[in-house]
Amino acid sequence: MQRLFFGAHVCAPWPELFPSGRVIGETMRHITLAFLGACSFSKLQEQLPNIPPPSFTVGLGGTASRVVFLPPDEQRVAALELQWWENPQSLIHYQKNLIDWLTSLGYAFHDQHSFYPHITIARSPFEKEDWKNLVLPIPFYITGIHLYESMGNLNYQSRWHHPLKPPFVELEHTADIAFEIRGETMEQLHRHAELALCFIFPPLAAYTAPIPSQSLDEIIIELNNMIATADTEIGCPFKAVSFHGKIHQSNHLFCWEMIVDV
Amino acid sequence: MSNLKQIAPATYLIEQEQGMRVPGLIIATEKLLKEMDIEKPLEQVRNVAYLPGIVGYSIAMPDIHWGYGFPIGGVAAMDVDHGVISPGGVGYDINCGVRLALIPIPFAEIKEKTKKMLLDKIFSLVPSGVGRGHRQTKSLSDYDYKELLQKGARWSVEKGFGYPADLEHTESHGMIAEADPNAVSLQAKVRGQDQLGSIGSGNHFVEIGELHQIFLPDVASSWGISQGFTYVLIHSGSRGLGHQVCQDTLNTFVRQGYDQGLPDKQLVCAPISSVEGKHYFQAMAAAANFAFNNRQHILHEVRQAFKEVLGIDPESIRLLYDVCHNIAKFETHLVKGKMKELCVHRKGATRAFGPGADELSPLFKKTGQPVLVPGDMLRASHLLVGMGNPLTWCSSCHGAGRARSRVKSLEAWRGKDAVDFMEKKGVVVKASSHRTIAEEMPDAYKDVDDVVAAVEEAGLAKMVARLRPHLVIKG
Repeated sequence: MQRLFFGAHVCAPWPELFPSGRVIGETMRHITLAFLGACSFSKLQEQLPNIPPPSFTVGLGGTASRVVFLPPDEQRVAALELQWWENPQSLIHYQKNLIDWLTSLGYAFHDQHSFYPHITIARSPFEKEDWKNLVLPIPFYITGIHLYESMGNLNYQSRWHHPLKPPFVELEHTADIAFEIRGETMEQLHRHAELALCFIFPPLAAYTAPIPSQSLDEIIIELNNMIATADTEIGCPFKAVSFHGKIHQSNHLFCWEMIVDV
Repeated sequence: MSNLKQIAPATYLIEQEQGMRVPGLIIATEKLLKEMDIEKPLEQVRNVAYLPGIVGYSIAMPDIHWGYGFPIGGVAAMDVDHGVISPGGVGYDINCGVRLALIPIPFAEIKEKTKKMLLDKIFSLVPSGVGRGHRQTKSLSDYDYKELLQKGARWSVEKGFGYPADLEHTESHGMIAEADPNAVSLQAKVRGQDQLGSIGSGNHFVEIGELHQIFLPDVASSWGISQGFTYVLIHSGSRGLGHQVCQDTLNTFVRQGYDQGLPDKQLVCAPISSVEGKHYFQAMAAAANFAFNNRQHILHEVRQAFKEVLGIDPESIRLLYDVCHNIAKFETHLVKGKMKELCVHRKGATRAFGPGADELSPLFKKTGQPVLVPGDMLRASHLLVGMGNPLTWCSSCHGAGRARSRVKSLEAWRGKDAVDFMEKKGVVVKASSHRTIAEEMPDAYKDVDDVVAAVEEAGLAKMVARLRPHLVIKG
């Protein structure tokens, strides 16, 4: 028997140092979707080809915006509360489908209606006051869905995974910074372009556009407004996003090469 | 090699193809061409040749690399009557430039401990890196803006941030004419109001070092350059104000459809004589004047640091020259036997007037103007003298040019102590961001010695002195 759970692995520009505590390794940080407890991996493995796929193919993103201590009454865990930059319903819907599927296989869940997406960062003992001073927000995105085995001592091993396309990939550019931005809609493309910039300069997360744009020119103008406002208030390492490239669409995926003048 | 045809020493021609209004011209040695990733920049050189009113050649310097619309290291001159002005031919950092000041003390005479004190003092006085910095002075008012955007560096000198002689030793005397503060948006002014006197981020820096090697003793002597003495090199531009002027203009030009028919949207441009073209020039000139003031203020703080740490009289720290390397300027050049007014775009390129040029101060009229070419923060920077070569509209290179992307540089230095590496090589580096240091490590750049050798071989400028950096503040 193994201690198993499903989780969404998260990628983020994590700080090099966290406050004191038993900090979970960077490669193992995740959002727990369904905790199975002690059960047989080999038995579940037989069913994995039938697992319901998520409706999204590109990793959803947002920011870790607040440190919370869980569970509220015992506070054994320092975790990050999440703010999604795109509709979180697709993840909530996926988590529900996953629970329903697992339930249909005979797995039992005590509290299946209270999905609270968060990233556990450290376990006690820790100094709560230090954790409250953690510099936030931290942008993040989901890289894929995993079936993890808890190995003890804060180690988790992925036994199976369903990869998602990253919302952006940094590309080679001699003088500036370039990304391939991906999105399933134009709105998502805009949010993922913002996310890419925030991965390099997280404070920019406070300056995202209130409403995502629908055309490439407007996306570029909005991204530059974000940079300009941030530069005015807190400074910004980017000069501007170039009027560069076109949107390529294939298999319901929009892609754009974004070049950022630095 | 992309159909390049050598037509003169270190000078290659790109044949005029359909759609190109002029041929392309690449200044480079065979060695540099073999080493660089040339295809994308060459495509940009070809694209620039499509622009209406371009005269002569679409030109690239040996430090050419892929830029915004124009390549970095690009030069293009436009007929003022029929040509266009393009923000992509100037760049986001309007009047990004370099100034070189001479310190009247041999570098070897400064004790190691004092050198570090000096670096710390400059780091505390000159804001660097992301943010408004830590300036204690009040923000620029509307009145300040009106004055400084029109007067250029003279505004700073009148306020006590420098000396009248500084203006004589600044390109265009530190002021681009026709600047109109009203052409600069409120957002641009707000963006720049706390940034005067700051380095910024990216590849901007303050560098202190030793005049290591003299190549032209006569010119060096007339400029007051002595081997072994200390220099300060300052690289910065118009900060957020200039970036916003560029962005505002691009937004306007794109919305008005000025990008139609161009091979690359980033070349968006307006006729020089149009309302939009004139508006951009007025705003660009204002941003250029902000940049002159910015470097003037940084030099002021550097002078204060030398006074506090070494007791050196600030006025004895002489500005040798200040050059723009991202600018469009109206200049008169010989075109087909007639003197003609042109709008010369230099984007990552430096003006290199030779002896006798009208604008130069008497000292430089005799010799040609100083051309400042910063390299990477380890190997060298260079001081050259302009030869006024008409082939490139009296232009030269502006730096070493990147050879490796920021991503690759970051990967190469991940987990390594770049600051310690540099210190072991004899260069102390300070920066607000470790990422910046990793991105700016010497191996990310071409060897500046090769770049200036190409410029000299092509007859654009001659090497006067080689500068060796020892203390560096990066943005």
